[in-house]
Amino acid sequence: MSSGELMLYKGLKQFDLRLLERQSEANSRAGGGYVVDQGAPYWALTLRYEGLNEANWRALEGWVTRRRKSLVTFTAYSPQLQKPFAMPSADNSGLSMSVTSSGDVSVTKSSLILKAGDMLSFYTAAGGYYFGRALNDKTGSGTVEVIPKATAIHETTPDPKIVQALGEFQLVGERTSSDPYDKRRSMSLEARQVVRL
Amino acid sequence: MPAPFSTAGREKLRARQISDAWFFDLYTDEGTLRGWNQQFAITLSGDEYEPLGDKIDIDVEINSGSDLVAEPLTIKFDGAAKLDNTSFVGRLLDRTWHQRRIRVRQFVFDVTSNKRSEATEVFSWYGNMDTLSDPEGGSGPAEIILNCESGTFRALARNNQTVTDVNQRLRDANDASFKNMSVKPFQRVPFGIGDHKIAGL
Repeated sequence: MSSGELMLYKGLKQFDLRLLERQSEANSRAGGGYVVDQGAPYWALTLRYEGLNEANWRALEGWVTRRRKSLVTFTAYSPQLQKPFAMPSADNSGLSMSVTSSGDVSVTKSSLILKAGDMLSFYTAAGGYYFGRALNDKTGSGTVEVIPKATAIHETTPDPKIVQALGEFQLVGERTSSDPYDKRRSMSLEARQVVRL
Repeated sequence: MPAPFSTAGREKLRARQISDAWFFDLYTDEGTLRGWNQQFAITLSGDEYEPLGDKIDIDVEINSGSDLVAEPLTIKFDGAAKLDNTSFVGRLLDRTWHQRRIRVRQFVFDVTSNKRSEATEVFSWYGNMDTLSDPEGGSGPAEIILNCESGTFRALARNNQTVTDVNQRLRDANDASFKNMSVKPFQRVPFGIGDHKIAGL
C-alpha cells in the first residue's frame, strides 16, 4: 500500500542514504576474488530525528503511526542532495526524461549541468518511483549514465525531477526512540527502497 | 544432469567478475509463464521474460549430478500478489501446473552491460512442478513455495488402488482395458469372454 506521503524533515539530524549492492562476497584477494553480481542495487535509508519540540514530536509520531510499520510506503528526497551541484537555482520546469535501451536516462533541459552524484527521479510505468544517481558529469541535454539502471517511465505522468528527486521507501525493523523527562526527544528509523515491477 | 559449459560460458566464468541472472519457464497447460529475476523485461531467443526481481527466488541450493536420483528444486515466490490474477504468481495459481514441465536456466552477461547484452547460458535444469505450499500467518514473509522434481527417472510411489472401469475412464475416456474388471472380490478376471457370460455383471 502506498500513500505517497512525503517524510517529515523538521528535527531531522541524519539522513544516511546508501546504495546496497546484491553481490556475492569476494573471499580471497587472488585476482580480485570471485564476485557474482546478482541483481540491481537498491537504496537503504537511516533517519535520525533529534531535539524535537512538542509539535514536531507529535507530528512525527503521527507520521510514523500512519506508516503502520512496513505497510504504507512514503516518499523522500535527500536534504543534502536536493539540487544538482552545478545548478543551485534550478527547478524542474521544462524538464523531460526518457529511458534508453541500456537503462540510462536521457535528460532534456535547457542549460543542463549534471555532476556525478546528482540525484534524479521519475514516476515509473509500474506506478512507483525510479530514484537514481548520475555516475558521470553531463553538460547539456543527453544521456546520463545512472545507477541503479532505470525501468520504464510512466507515459502520461512521468513527473521527472532533478530538484528534490523522490524515492519510495518503506520502514523496516523497529524504531528506536527516546522521550525522557527533559523532553530531549529523539527517534531513529530504518527504511529501504520499494521497487514496483 | 548439467549440460557441459560452452567455451564462451567457460571464459565468462573464468573472468571472476560475473553478472548472472536466472530464467524460469513454467509450461502450464494454459500457456507458458516466463520470468526472470531482474527488474526489466528482456527477450531471449525470441521469448519475452517478465521482470520478477525479488518476487522469485531459488531456495537453498540446486543439486545436479549424473546419478539416477531425483534432483529437487524449490522455488519461492513472493505471496503478496497471489490473489491478483494479473500477477505472475496469481496466473500460476490459476493454471494447471501440477506435473507440468519447468525449465530453470542461469545466464551470465557481460559484466559492464548491466545484464543487457551477451547472454551466455551456463546452467540449465529441467523438471516437473510437483507440490505447492502456501504458508500463511506467523511473523514470516508471505510466500508461495513450489517444489519441483527432476532426474533421469522419476520414481512413482506405489498406488494401492483397485482400478475399475469407472476410474480408468476418468484417466482416459476411450480406454476399455478395464471394462471386464470384476468389482467383486475373489472373482476371476475374465478375458475374451462376452459380457453376457460374466457372472455378477
